[in-house]
Amino acid sequence: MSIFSRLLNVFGCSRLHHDIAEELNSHLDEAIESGLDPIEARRSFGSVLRYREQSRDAKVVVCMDSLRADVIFGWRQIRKKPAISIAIVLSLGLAMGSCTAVFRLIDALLLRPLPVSHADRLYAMVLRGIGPDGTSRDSDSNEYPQFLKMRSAVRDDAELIAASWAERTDLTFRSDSETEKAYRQYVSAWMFDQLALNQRLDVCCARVMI
Amino acid sequence: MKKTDSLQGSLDLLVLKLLSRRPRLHGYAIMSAVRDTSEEVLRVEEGSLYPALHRMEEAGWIRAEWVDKDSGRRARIYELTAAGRKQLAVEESRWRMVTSAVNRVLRMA
Repeated sequence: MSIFSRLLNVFGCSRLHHDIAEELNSHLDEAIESGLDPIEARRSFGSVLRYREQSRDAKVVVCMDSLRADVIFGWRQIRKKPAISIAIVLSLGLAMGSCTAVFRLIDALLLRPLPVSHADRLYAMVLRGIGPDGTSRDSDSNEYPQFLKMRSAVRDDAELIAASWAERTDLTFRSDSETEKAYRQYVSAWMFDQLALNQRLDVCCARVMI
Repeated sequence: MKKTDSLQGSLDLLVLKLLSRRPRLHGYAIMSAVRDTSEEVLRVEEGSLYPALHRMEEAGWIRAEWVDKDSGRRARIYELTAAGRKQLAVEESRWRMVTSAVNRVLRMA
C-alpha cells in the first residue's frame, strides 16, 4: 500500500472502518462456525474497537489523521459558539493585518536595500567643520568647484555624485494643457550609470549636459 | 507448561511462512494454522494478528482481497507477494542466526 493510498484512507475513514469491522466480524463468524460458543468467542476475542484502531493506524498516515480529527473538532467547536468565533477571527485578522502593515513599513524603510546598483557601497558625505559659534558643525552642502576638486582627489577609490535640493515644481508632458506637480532635483550626469538607473521606468529624468 | 506469548518478534515470520505453504488464507485460518501446527504451543492473539496482517499488507509483503463466502458474508484472504517471499528469506535467515546463537549460549554456559 503506497503512501498515496494511506493518505486517501485519511479521508475515507468510514469505508476503512467498515472494512476492518467486517474483517473482524468475519473472524468471529469463523470461530463460531468452528464450534466455539458465541459468547465465549466474543469474550476471548477481546475489544473489537481496540483492534480496529490498531489496524487502522497501519493503513493511514497517523499525523494527517490526527490533523484531520483536530480540524473537524475545531470546526465543531466554532459552530457551537458562532458569535465568539467571529469575534476571535476578526480580532486575529485585525492583529495580523496590523503586524503585516507595520512590517511592510519597516521592510521598505529599513530592511530592503535601495533599488540601485551596489546599494551597500552608497554613502552620504558630509563636511565637518567649526561653525561661527565655535562648535562642531556638519554640512552636506558644497560649492561646485570644491566638489570637482574632491571628485578628482578620490577618483581612483570612489565616485562622487552631487545632488541639489529637491523642489516642487510644475511639469507639463507632451502638451501645455495638463500641468502636473513633481519634484525636481539636479544631479550629476554620471549618477544614472553609477546607480544603474537607466532602465528604471518610474524615474523620469532628463539629462542635461552643462 | 504454561502457554505464554512466545511469539514476540516472530509473528511476521510465521505468517509469511504459512502463506508461502498455504496461499489464500484468512485471519482465522492463519491463527488456527499456527495453533494446530505448533500443537497448541504457540497461540496468536487476535489483537496481535490483525494489526500485523495490515502492517505487512501496507509494507507490500502480502496482498489481500475480499471473497464471498457461502454464508453470504465476505472474508478477507491474504496471499504472499514477491516482496513477501524475499522478506520471508530474510526473516528465516535472521531466525536461524538468533536461534543458533541462543543454542551456543545454552551449550557453553
